[in-house]
Amino acid sequence: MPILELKNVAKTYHTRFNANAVQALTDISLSVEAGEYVAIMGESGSGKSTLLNLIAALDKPTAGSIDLNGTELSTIPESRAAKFRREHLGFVFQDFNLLDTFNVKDNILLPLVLSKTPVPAMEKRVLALAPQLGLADKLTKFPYELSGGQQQRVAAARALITDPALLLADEPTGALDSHTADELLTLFGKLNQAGQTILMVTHSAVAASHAQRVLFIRDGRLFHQLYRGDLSQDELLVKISDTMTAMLAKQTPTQAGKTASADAAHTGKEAD
Amino acid sequence: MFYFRLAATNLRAHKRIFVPFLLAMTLLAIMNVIMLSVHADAGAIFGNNGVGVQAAATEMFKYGAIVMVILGVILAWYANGFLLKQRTKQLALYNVIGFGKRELRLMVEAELALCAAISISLGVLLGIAFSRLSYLVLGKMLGVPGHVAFGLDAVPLLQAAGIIALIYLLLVLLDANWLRKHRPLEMLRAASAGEREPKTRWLLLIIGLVALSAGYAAAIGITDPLGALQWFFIAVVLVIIGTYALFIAGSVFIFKLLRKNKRYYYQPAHFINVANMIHRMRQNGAGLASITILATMTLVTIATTITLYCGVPQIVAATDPADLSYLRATSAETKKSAITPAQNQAQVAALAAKHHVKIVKRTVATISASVPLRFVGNRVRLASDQDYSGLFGPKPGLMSSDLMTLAHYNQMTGRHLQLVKNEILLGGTRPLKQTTLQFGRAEPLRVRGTAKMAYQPNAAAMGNALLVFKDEAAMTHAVRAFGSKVAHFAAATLAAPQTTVYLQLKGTDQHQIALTHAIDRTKLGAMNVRGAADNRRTVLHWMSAFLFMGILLGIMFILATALILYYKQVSEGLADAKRYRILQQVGLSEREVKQTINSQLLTLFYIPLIVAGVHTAIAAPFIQRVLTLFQIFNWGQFAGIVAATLAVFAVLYVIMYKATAQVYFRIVK
Repeated sequence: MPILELKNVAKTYHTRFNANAVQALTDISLSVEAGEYVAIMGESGSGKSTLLNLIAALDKPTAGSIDLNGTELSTIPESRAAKFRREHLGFVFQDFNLLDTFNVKDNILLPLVLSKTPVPAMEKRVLALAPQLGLADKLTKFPYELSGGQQQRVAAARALITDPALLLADEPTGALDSHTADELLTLFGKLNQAGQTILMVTHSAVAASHAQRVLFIRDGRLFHQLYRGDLSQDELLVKISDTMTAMLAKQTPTQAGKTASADAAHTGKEAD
Repeated sequence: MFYFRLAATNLRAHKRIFVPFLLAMTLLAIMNVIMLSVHADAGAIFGNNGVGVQAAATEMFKYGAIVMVILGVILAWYANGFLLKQRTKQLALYNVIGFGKRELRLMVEAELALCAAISISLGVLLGIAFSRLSYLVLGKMLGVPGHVAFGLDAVPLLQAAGIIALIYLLLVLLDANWLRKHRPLEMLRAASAGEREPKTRWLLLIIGLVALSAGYAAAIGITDPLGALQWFFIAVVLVIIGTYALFIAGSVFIFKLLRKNKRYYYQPAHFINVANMIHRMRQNGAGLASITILATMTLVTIATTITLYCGVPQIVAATDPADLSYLRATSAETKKSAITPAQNQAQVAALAAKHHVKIVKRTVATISASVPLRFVGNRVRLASDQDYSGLFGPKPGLMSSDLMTLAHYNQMTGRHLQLVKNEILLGGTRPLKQTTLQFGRAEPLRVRGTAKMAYQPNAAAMGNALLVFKDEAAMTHAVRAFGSKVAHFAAATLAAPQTTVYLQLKGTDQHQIALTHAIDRTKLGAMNVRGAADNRRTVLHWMSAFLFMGILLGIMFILATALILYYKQVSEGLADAKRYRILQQVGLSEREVKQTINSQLLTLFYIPLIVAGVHTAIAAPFIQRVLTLFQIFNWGQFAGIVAATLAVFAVLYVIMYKATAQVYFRIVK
């Protein structure tokens, strides 16, 4: 039973001043199993953010269905969408999105407070979670007192505190230097090994190379996918780079397949 | 020219912040035109008063104009600061595309010049219209015929234009200095960086507590009217200091205390608000305190001036119980005077007929002495200074009492009453139900019956009483009982009774005034001629002038409040927009976000109204005590007017709040 399943999802935007509709996503189908670590790659404007917004129930698809943890998202009324998001999803954003009026502890507790968790239970969870993310001694600090990497770990802690079925990360390393980015990705890897399902949107090949599976989106369509199989991170990185090059050269997946993806698909099958 | 075109584009592009600025500056110009016009025309408006009143009114409106200018400078300064802060981003952008400091300065100056041109021309035009309108209103209040034309005077218009131009010049200098000191690019970066959590400022907190308690204590504790007048400004300053300090430091302290209470703090409704408030109060404390002070000033000014205006009959009645009164030589003294009482009466009657005034009733009262007495139960004692300064004005039972012999009473009433030893007659403008009266330690006197007052009971708060004794000896005996201090005074005054003639008239105020002046001028043995109509006219003019100025200043205060409210909403909205986006992403529904915003706005914007209400409530008895100096003792009336003013202002405030909250929601969305 997959945690997340998209079937023939499409999204069309109508701009106010333009009669022409913009096709942001076309016929996307994919599924994410529990415990998977999936990266979605694509250039700016490829539709990956739209996809993430749909999965996060922040937006509704024009066609197709999205099933998250056994619930069809379109059946959730607007009034309950926020609660659903709070209970089933965790978010990590590129620019951290911490509230500067809260200290670290309160930032992490925010989703729990919103779902009216009793104070002792909240305390217990934050004290258990903070050390895993190296935040044990930072709880009383304010966001402006932390480095970028630390802030992103606070954001990760906020996303994880509700024990979400799916952790959604939108370009989580975008605002970090390569060293801190690497630390964060290692952390994500550990979380995944501990059983956390992660879906990460990125345009960084390095970031994507930490995932088990990489999906490529171009012009709103699923272009290709790579499985890690038993490849090392560096080997996967090379494959991702090749695919990206092929995608940028506007080759069709089949043409690109001659070089890289055929192998990837092959190894992927072996891994299954 | 290039800069002017650019400036015009900027004004259009930033309507949201420039339109209120222009509106405020234009209104400022209008108010200055009105105030200065009234000042210039005060002589004409108060034309049918004495030169002294004209000069005093001119002087009063001069002070009004000065207050207006000071308020204008503060308001313009504040609005301009806001303008700069909101435009940092835009200025930075111009900086990036190659505008140096000189060019930026020229651009900002061109913008201000455009604003000045718009607000001065509009302000003068509308100012002329509104000052005509206000003359009509003032004329109505003063009883000056509406058609009295006031010429179009260029001087106040030029003065007002000059004042506004000078204010703009000040803004130009302020902006130049701001641009010199800041680099827009750096400002931009600083603005986006997270802000530190404010510390509790203990010193400020303590100063605020002490100042506010001292101010409140003065308002409640100082019960002596003259003392209240002296303390009034000190108390006002103390309360202002207290308000600012507590809004800035006290609010942070309280919200931090709330944050320590985990069961309160970790609730969805409180969690976000408390944390936000701690951070917001640092920037907002001063603004909210300003709103509070302005609201309080509006309430106090309007309520007080309305009370004074409504109090005209009380003020007049206190000094003039009858329509017309004058002192006449007593029968015993007439030998010295050439005019007999009968001649006097005839001449006055003739004058009255000549001036189309009918004498409805004529009373001649010969009073031996007039003393302030306090009636407590059946005991009577001489009023002391403390009796005048009760918590709610003069203490009950305080009566200004006339002492009269039975002979004079019979003369006055034309009756033939008899009193035995230890009997008196007692009458008052308020019901006095005593059956016996004890003066000091003397043996009690029996109240034989009710004495009829010489004049109609009046509306003054301190009652008047009439005590009729059997004879002079009985009177002297009673007064001596008050103590040796009085004995001396009693001997001197009781032996020299004064005769006052009270006339109740029927006729227009104009005719009564003319009669009063005629009696005063004609030599017919009348001294100290006082006409209620004459007095009423002067008092009414004064109080109308007060009320008029109160309303002008009130409008100004409300304008300032509205502007600050609006700018607060805009800056809050911009600051909160990002915050609420994050909250929505971590799982707050739009409805919950709206609820949070609402409860936060409510606290932010209703606290000033509530505090202003408390300030006004505390100030009310204090002001009422000062009002007793004007002979206005009607506590109920003042309380009613304060409550009504508060209610009207609250409605106005809520409307202003709702209107400006729209702006906030539009930004946050």
